[in-house]
Amino acid sequence: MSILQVKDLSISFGGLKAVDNVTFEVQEKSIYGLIGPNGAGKTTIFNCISRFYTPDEGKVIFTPGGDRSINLLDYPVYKVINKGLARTFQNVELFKMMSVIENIVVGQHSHIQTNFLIEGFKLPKVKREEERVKSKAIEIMKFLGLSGIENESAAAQSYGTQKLIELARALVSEPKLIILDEPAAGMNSTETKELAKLIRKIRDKFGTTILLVEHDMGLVMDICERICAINFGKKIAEGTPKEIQNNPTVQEAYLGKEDA
Amino acid sequence: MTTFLQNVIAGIETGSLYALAALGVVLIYRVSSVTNFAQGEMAMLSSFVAYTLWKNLSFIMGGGDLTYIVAFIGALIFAMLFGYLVERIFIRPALRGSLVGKMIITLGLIMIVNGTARAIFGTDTHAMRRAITRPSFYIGNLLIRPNAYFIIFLTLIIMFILFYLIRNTIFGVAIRATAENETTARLMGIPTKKISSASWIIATVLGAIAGILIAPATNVHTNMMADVHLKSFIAAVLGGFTSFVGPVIGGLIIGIMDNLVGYYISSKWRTVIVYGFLILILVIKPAGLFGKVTRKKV
Amino acid sequence: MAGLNSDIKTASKSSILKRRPGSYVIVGMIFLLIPIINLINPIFAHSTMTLLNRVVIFSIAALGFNILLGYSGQVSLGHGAFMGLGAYISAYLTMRLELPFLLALFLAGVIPMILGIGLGLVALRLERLYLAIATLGLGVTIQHVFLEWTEFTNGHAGLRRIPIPSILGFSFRQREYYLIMSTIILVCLAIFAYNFIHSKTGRALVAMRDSEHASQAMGISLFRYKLIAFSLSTFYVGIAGSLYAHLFRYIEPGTWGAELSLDLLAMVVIGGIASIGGSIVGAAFIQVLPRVMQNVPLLRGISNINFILTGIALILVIIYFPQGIIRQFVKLWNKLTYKKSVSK
Repeated sequence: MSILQVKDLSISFGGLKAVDNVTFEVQEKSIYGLIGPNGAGKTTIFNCISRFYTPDEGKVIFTPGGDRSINLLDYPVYKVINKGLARTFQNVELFKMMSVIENIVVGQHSHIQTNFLIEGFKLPKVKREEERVKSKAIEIMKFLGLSGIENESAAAQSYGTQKLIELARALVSEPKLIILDEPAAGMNSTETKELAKLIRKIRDKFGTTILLVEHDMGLVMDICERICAINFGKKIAEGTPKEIQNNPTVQEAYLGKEDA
Repeated sequence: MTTFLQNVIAGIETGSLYALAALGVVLIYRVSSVTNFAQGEMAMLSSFVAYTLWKNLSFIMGGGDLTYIVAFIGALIFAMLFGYLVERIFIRPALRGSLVGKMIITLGLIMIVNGTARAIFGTDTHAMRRAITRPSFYIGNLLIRPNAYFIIFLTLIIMFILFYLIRNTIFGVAIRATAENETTARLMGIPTKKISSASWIIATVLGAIAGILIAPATNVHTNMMADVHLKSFIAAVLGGFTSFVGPVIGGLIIGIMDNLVGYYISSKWRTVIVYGFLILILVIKPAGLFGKVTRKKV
Repeated sequence: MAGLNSDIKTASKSSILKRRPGSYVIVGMIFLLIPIINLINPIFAHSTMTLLNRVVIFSIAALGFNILLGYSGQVSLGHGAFMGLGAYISAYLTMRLELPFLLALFLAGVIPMILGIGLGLVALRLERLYLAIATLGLGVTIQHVFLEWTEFTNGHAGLRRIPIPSILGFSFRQREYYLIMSTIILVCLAIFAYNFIHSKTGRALVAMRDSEHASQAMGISLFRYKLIAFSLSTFYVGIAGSLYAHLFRYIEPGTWGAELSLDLLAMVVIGGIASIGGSIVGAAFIQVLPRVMQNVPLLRGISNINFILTGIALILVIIYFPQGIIRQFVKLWNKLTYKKSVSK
C-alpha cells in the first residue's frame, strides 16, 4: 500500500509554472526516486511535500501507519516531522554552533515532553528525557558509523560526515518516510556506492520508506525500486529503473540538457 | 474643511521630510544591506554644522538669505564627507559580517555620534531659521505658509532627481545591480565599493537636508532627530524596504496621520495612536504596503 | 569580521563560567565576601556598594537580553522600556497596594512578560529587520505612556520614596544587604537560564538562530520559540527594573529610553553573545566604565565620554572579537595554563 500520494500538484512562481499537475505514489517500505535534469522542478516538489512551499493546487496524502491518512497541506511546516516525515537538505543545513550530538538530539525536538519552566527548575523529568534522547542519538550515531565524534563541533566535520550527521538527525525522529534532497551531490563514485549501501541498510533495519530526489542517475538506478522522471515541471515517465532507462522521452530530456 | 486641508498640508510638509530621510535608509539598505540606525544622529550632526555655520557667518556676512544658503551648502559638503568617512571607517571592515552584526555597528555609531555632538555642542537648544522667511498670508480662509510649500517643492525635486538617477543612468543601473546581488555585480565589473560609498554619501546628504529643513520646527539640539528618525524608519518599513517609491508614500502617510490624529483625536496620545496603528498595518501586511514577499530558497 | 555567529563552538565548551550551575554558586559566594567583609569592617565606600549593586542588577537585565539576542538571534531596541515597566509596576504595587516586596518583585517580572507575549504575538510576525524597528517604536511608545499616565507614574516628576524592600520583617536598607539579596537573585536566575538553555528550549533557540529552515524541518515552531525568547527576556528585564526601583527608591521616565536599550545591547555584545558569564562581564564593563573614566585626567573633561567609548567598544568588539570579551579571557586563560583550547 502507498505511504505517500502526491496528487495533481501545481505551483507557479511569478506566473511561471514550476510544477505542473504532477501525480505519483510511493509504496510503503520502498525506495522511490524522483529524477530530472537541473531546474526540472524536483526540489520544488520536494519542498511542497515537506511544506516549505504551499502549492497552488493539489494534495499530498500521507499515510504513516495503518489506515490513517492525512493531507500534509493541512499542517504547518514544523508539524510535518511529528507526523512521521523527515527530510535532509541539498546544501547541508546543520546547526553550526552545536556539537555533533546536539545536532542529532534536535531531531527529537517534538518527542521531548518538557517546557522551559520544568527545564529551568531541572525537575527529574528533564534529566530522564535528556538521557533518553542522548542514548537514542548515540545509538543512531553508532549505526551510521559516527561514534567518537559526539562532542566535536558539527561545523568542523568533513562534508561527507556532515551529510551523515544530517541523515542521523532526520533518522533519530523515527520517521516513517524520509526524503533526501540530492544526497549524492558533491560525492565521488566510491562515496556514492557507500551511500547506496547505507540507504538500503536504513530501509531494511528501520523499515523506513525512502524518497530520493536526485540529479545523478547512477545512484537512483542502483537503489530505487520505482522512479518518477520530471522535466519542465511535468511528469514525463514513471516506472522501474529499466523502464525509465529505456524511455525515449527521459533520454531526450537528459541528453538534450547535456548538449546545452 | 480648511482646517482639515491645513492639517493635510502640514502633514505633507513633515511627511516629505520623513520620506527624504527614509529614502536614505532604504538606499543604504539596498546597496550594502545595512540598516543604518545612525541615520538620524548623523543628520543631527549635519544640522548642527549648518546651524553653527549660519550663526558664525551671520557676524561676517550679515543675516541675509545668502548666509543661509552658504551655511546650507557647507553642511551638505560636510555631510558628503561624513557619509564617506563613516562608510570607509565603520562599514567596510564589516562588509562580510552578518546582518545583525552590521546593524549593531550602526547602533554603536549612534552612541559615538550622539556623544560627540553633545561633547562639542552641549545640550542646549538653539533656534534655527526657516528656509523661506516670508510671513504667512491668507488666500480666502486658507493660511499659506511659504516655507511649507518650499519644503514640499524642494523634496519633490530631490526625489525626481534621485529617481531619475536610479532609473535612467549608468549609476542607477550599478546601484540596482549591487542591490540585487553584490557578488554578481562585482564579478560583472561594477565597482561595488564605490557604489557603496556613493550610497552612503547620498543617504547622509538626504538625511542632512531633512534635518536642516525640519530644524526650525524641532529646534537644533542633540535629540532633535530621535522622533524624526523613528518616523522615517517606520515610513521605510511601511512602504517596504524593497521599493524606492514605497518609503515616500509611507512618509507622507505618517506625516498626514500624525497631524490629523494630533488635531482631531488627542495631541497627548498621538504618538501612541500613530505607532499602534502602523504596527497594525504591518501585521496585516508584514512586508510593507509596497514590499514584495519573497519566497526564500530552501 | 567573522560575523555574529561563527566559531562559538570552540569557545562555548571551554568557558569557565559555563561549565555547571555549581560554579555560579561558588562565584556568587566569593563575590558575597565583599559585602560581608564590608559589613564587619567598612573598606569600600557607600558609592562602591551602589556601583556593585548596579552591576548585579544590570547583569540580570543583560542576561535576559542575551536570551533574546544571543541565543535566539532577535534584536530588540525596546527592552529598556520593559525594564522601566518592571520598575513602575513594582513601585506601584508596594506603594499603593502595599503588597509584600517579594510578591511585587515576582509580578514585576510576570506582568511585563504577559505584556511581552501580547506584543510579541504582533511584533514577532515581522521580519527580523523590522522587529528591531518595531521594538524601537514600542519602546518610545511605552516611555510615552510613562510620561503621560500620571496617575500611575507621576509623569515627568517621577516616583519618589519607593519603599525599602523587606522580607519577613528584615529590611534591606543597607547597600551591603541589598547586594547580598540581589546577588542571590542573580545566581538563581542564572542557574534557571543555564538549565533551560541546556535543554530542549535552549537547543531550539540556537537551532533557530543557526538555520531557520533546518529547525523548522526538525519540528521547531519559529514563532513559538521567538515568543518564548521574547517573553523570557522581558521577565528577566522586569525583575531587574524592580530591583533598580527599590535600590534607588526613585524612578523617572527618562531612564528607560532608547539609550538604556542600547546599553543593554552593548552589554551583551561586548560581554559575549550566547554566554551567561558574558552577560555579567558585559554589564560590569558598562557600569564600571564611567567610574574608571572619572579618574582619567584628559578624557574626564569630555562629557558623555562613556557613551562615546561604549559605542567604540561595541564596534570594535563586533569587528574584531564577535564572540565577546569573555571568550577572549577564556582563550587567554587557556593559553596561560597550556590547556587545549578545544576540550573534549
